[in-house]
Amino acid sequence: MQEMIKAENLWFGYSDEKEKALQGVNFTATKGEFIAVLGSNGCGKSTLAKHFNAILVPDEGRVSVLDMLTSDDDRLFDIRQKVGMVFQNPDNQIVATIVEEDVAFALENMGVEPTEIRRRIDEAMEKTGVYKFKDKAPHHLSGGQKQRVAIAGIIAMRPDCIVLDEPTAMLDPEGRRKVLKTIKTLNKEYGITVILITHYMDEAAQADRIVVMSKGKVVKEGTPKEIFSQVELVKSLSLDVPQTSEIAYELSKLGYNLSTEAISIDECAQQLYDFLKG
Amino acid sequence: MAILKIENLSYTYNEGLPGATKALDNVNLEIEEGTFVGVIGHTGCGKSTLISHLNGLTKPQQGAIYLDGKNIWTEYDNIRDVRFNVGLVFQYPEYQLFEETIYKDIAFGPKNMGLSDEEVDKRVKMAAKFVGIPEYALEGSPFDLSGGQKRRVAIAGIIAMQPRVLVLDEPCAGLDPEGRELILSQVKNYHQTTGGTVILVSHSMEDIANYADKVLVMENGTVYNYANTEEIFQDAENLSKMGLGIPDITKVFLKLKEMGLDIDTDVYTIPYAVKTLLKYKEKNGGGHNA
Repeated sequence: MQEMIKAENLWFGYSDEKEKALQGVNFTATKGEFIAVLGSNGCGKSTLAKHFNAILVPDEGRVSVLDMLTSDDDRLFDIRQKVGMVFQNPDNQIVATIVEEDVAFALENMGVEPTEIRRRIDEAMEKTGVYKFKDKAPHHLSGGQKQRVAIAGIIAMRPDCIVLDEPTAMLDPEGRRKVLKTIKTLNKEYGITVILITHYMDEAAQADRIVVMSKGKVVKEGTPKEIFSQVELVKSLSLDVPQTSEIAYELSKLGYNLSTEAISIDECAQQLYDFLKG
Repeated sequence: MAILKIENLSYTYNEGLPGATKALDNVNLEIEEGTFVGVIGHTGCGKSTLISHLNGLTKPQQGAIYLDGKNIWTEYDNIRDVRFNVGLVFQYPEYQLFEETIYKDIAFGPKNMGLSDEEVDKRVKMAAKFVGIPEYALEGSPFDLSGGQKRRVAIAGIIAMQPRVLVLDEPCAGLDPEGRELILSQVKNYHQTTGGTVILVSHSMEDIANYADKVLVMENGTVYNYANTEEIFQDAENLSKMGLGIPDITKVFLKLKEMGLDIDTDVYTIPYAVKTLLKYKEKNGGGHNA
């Protein structure tokens, strides 16, 4: 399996801070994986994400994207085409006055042929479900729609990997649902590696693997089942577990034998059904 | 008597233009003093338009708002008196911090009320305490704080005015679970200690379930329902259909019902879920013969 992104013993500090924001992080994303990164505010998740497309470069250690070092200035252009980033606030990422122009922005800057631009942006807008707004002004769209336009702009560059830093934090449940669905489609159907930073446990529960950060370090890694079944550990890191794990945990404390690994609604309901009937 | 009364309130953006959108459509509502009200609804359902009417930021096109039974636009000498009584915390309030020190930022509102320095000082300290900002930190710059701390300073600035109604628009957006919990428990504490009225707008049904006494559900500019929290969740199936993101635990109980169990589905918190499950098990004889 090819490594998409690899961080080795990564240290990084902002100049005005005593404590380093990243303290020896090791992280690997395999091609095609969907990884969720969890951690409380200030744990270093966003700082780590910014290393993935060379917005930041390590003080110590190394980060590579498809074997290209992010510290190598000559590869910067290639790296940024391989790894696209989407940030929290959709309003800060939209530059053009018409949706399709915004999606085309990066391609125009890259000097792609106009016919090729047309093909790629249509495809990107289809994939993210924003084609029907292509002639609209972005400020007439909802937050969730704008966020999908931002994702389309990234997808049009045909990256291998997309890093999303709390893309749904400012959205309502419906907007969140659609953005997450788009992210999952990009991952499952188009094989794009996804690294999703989130505070929402229900979003993290849908990833292949969860990486938990605390105070600049990776403190836990595993499948959603492995992570969320450790209710006490997760809570000790100022995080939450999905309510589905929590109900099993609470019943276990009362002496009933239930698994905290049943994290989907269906699994949890089935387990409770058996519990009530058995 | 209700502290706030909303009567036949309608509001249309861009009225008379091609892009006209009706944000509020004949809303009627009475909020009793001392209630903790949660407000939910889709983006575009009119929540924000409604709350901006409550302290007179938006003037009704039709209908009226009453504070203590008096029309805020015709029976008060000054709309500022209304704003001192109804404090509004906007979304992302941390962007509105501007003073050199945290102390001065929190003091801005009470100073504008024309209070004595002594009273302002008392209120700043009281408000800082509510949101967990220690006194020694007050002389620091608000811009050196983390996002969650900044937001708590911004909320303290409103609390320091001691409004009788505290309105918060999505106070937890973008915070981690611990930050959410902290802000909401501080608001709850404020509510319980002062007996003031709190109106909390949130997309998180879990937060509303955990903190609110009553819930206002809005849809397309109208009041879909306004009732006690338990009653609202009895309607969970419809809320879910409206795309309102009901708590996972409520979804699990709806699923159990679908699987053929005769179980209550108005479950919205974990402790209540545990109780409901154990009650069911007991009533059905532990199910050993199933």
